[in-house]
Formats: sequence, structure tokens, C-alpha cells
Amino acid sequence: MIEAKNLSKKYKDKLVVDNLSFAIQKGKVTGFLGPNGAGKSTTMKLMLGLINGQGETLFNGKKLNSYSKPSSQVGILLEAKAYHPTRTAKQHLKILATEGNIPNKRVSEVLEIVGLNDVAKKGPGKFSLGMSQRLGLAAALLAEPTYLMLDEPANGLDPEGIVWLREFLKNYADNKHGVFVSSHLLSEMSQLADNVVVIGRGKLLANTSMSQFIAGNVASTVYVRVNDLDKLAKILTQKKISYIKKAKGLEVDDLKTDDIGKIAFDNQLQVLELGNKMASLEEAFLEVTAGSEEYQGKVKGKKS
Amino acid sequence: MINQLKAELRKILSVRSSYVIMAISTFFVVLINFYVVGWHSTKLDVLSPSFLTNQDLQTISFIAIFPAIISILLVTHEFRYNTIDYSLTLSRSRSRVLLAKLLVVSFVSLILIAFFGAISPLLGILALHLNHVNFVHQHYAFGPMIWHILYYGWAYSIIALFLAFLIRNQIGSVVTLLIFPTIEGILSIWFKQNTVYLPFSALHKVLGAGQNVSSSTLSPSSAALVALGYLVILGGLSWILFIKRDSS
Repeated sequence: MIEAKNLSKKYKDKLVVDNLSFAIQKGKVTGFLGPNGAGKSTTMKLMLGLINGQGETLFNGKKLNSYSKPSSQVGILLEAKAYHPTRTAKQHLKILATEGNIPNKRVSEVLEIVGLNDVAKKGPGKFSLGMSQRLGLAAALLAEPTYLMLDEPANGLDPEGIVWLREFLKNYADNKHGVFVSSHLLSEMSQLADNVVVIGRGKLLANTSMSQFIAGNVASTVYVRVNDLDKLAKILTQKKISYIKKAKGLEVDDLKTDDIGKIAFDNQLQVLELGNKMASLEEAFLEVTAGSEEYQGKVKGKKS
Repeated sequence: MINQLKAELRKILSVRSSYVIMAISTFFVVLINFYVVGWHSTKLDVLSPSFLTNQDLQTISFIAIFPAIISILLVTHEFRYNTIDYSLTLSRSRSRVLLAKLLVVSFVSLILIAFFGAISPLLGILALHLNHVNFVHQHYAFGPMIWHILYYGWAYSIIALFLAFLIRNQIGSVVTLLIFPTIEGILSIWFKQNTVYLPFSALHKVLGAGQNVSSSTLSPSSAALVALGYLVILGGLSWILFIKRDSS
């Protein structure tokens, strides 16, 4: 397990990471979410000791630099284009392998895994963002580390690449590894992560399982469409059941589909559509991070 | 540690800029020694018994900047392309990263300076021979020449390395390295013969080819100690800041 304890980082007078504590478990993918400028990248760098701050991070109970081979503990992808542009992809990985005391044969293996074998002898200066992400992932995988820490690894990947990455990371976690991944692609994260850590303005907003995060922050509703919508609305009002009109139907809180179906049947209403409307990660994320965005855009004519 | 040394050496040998700099420096060595000094020397020029010694020292005083630039690039490329994050994560300590770079830069600069120091007089002799110019018996003190040249080239590269660790920026480091001797030249107006106690002037005195040191009585060995003192201070500062500062 990776345990981040009381991490804090101050730039001049601004506290960008504020007493963060959370854990990343083996066998799980942990998503790291937060609005732009929330401090996700800074937190990752703090955990790795790349920047100085308060708190400590333990990798299976020990500090990273106390391992004789830190590369076996954690593989990182913090920036896609972290390579010298004229050094070939293979040379880049060979250098990292040498630095990390990793056998050179792993270089070909990881290039094969990420699908960059054909361009292994090319300088990555002209790589697309997606190819750079793959090279970064190859670098992270070199020592087949216990944990992966990836900052926005899906950025620039095409849809096929995103699906591949999702399956790969899930598989990696299933093989008794831990994956800590930040992303702003919420729909992608909802399919990938088992647990979620959410921060805003450097503070911990949530640290829970993905399902609990969504269920706990956005109420699931039932959507119903009947032949006489006004009649149903009147009945729900009488029963003091809250609802909102949406499209040609009603979104009803606090009731199950069975209950709505019974109400409709009892009042001789013809049900045209009835189903659960599941809350999305996006809704839960927006609910939790409301007001903690560092940078906010404005839509003309819309009151905030 | 051996792996880190290998990795640092690979970093130098796997980028185009290292080869470009080596090619340019070799070109200048050939141009200066074979063409300018050797081919265009007259019989009057070669009457001095220290002709070859001076030629060699002057070449090294100029050419040492090139290994120094390679050492600057070894560090600043890491910060420019953010590969420093990998280096720091893969290594057990930042001190090891700095030490590995220090040792590899020492090795590379000594090899290059030894090579340039060896071919400079040979190129001159070859050009004079082809030009049918015979020079007087030369006084070439091999022992002192070897350590003067190697120390100068090594120290110049190590100063560059520490500047790169402090400044982290490619252009900033190169400009600082180039501008410092000029500043010392200006300071010599006030420092007079004490100018030799400034870092680059002391280093030039080791070589005996400095511009501001002619009136000084400081021996090359003492000058080497003065330069070493500055290296230790600069190295200590670089080490402390490299440990304390954020990676990017």
C-alpha cells in the first residue's frame, strides 16, 4: 500500500497542497480527480520526493529512497514529453533501464507492450502526444513496478488507445499491482477506477470507492413518462414526493421504479417510459468540487 | 553507482549535440594548429624554444569551453526536457545523481582535453614539416604540461557543471560561463595583481596562458589550489541547492 500522510506544499504564501492523507491499495486502480490547478501534479511530485514539502509517503511501509531499487516500487509518468527529442525511443528507455538497474531486455518488452516497436529507433521529437504517452508508459513499466503513478496518461490517446490503456491498467492492477492515475476524462475514469481520491484547492474532498463516491454525492432518480404527465405530477405533489420535469417526463427522487409503476397503475396512467437514471461521476465530481475550482470560465448571459 | 555512471555516459553519447560539439572543437583544433599556427608560420615565428608549448597552451585555453558546454548540456537537458524526474526517482539519492554527473563529466573532459592536448602540437609539427619550415630545438616539459592541461580542462568543465546545476538553464549557464572571465578582466582594474585570486584568472594561471596574470607571482600549483577552493565552494553550493530545490 502507498500511504500519503499529511502532505502539504506552500508556494510563497499559497498553500497548494493542504494536509492531504490517503492510501493507494494494491490490486486496485485509484483515480485522482480535481479541477485544474487543484494540486494533483504537485501532490504526485510530493509523494515521489521530487518537490520538497511537509508530510511523508510510505511505499509498503518504507520511504521510497530507502529501497535499494526504487524503480521496482514505483513507475512514473508525470509528463508525456519527458524525453530528449533527438535521442531515440530505445536509447531513452535504455538509459532509464541502466539508471534503474533494470535488464536491457525489458526495453524491447515494454516497447512491444505499448506498441512502439516500429518507431523504437526514431527520435521521439516528432511523436504525437499519444505516442509520447505510450513511450512514457513504457518508461513507467520498465521495472514492472509494484505501483504505477500516472498523471493524465490518456491525454492525446485516440479512442482505441484509451480503450487499450483502460484494459491494460485494469489488468495490471488485477495482477497484484497498484495503479494511481489522474485524469480529467471523467467518463473514462468512471470505467477505470475502483477507488477515487478527489481534491480541490489542495484539500481532500473525497477518498472512497468509486461507487460510494457517486452514490453518496448524487441521488439516483427514476425517470418516468406517462400519457398524462400533469395528472402524475399532481399525484406526486399530493404525496409530497419531489420531482422535476425533464424532457417529456418526470425525474422523481426517493422512489423506486416499482413504486412509480404501482402509482401509475393505481391511477390508470399508461406508462410510456420508466427507468433508473444513474448518477454519473461527472455529476458527483461537480457536486463535490463546486466552489473549489481554481480557474472558472463564464458563459455569456448565464448567471452563476 | 556503476549503473548511474553508465547511464550518465550514455546520456552524453546518445545526443547529437555532443557529437556536433566534438566535431566543432576538433575542427577548431585543426584550424588553429595546422592552418593558422603551423601552415602560416614563418621561420622567425619558430625561433622560440617554447613555440610548441605556447601553441598547445593557447589551444587548450580556447578549446576547454567545448567539453564545458557538453557538461552544461548534460545537466540542463535534464531540466529542459524534464527527464530529471526520472533520474531522481530511479536513484536512491540526489547526491548520487550529482556525483555520477561529476564523475562522468570529469572522465569525458579529461579524455577530450588529453586528446586535444596531444594532437595540437602534432598538427603544428605536421604543418611546419609540410611547409618545409624547421624550428629550433623545442623545450616541452611533458610532466608539467600534462597536469596543467588536464587540470585546466577538468576544472573548466566542473565549473560549467556546477553553474548548470545552479542555473538549470542552457543559455543562462553558457552565457554565465563566458561572461565571468570578462567580468574578471574588468575587475582587474581594481584588483591589479590580486586578480589572480579570482576563479578564472587562477585557472588561467595554472595554464600560464591568462590575460590578467602576467604580473602575478602565483605558481601554477598555488593557482590550482585557489581554483580548487572556488570549485569546492561552488560544488558545495550546487549540492546543497540541488538537494533542497524542487525538481522543476
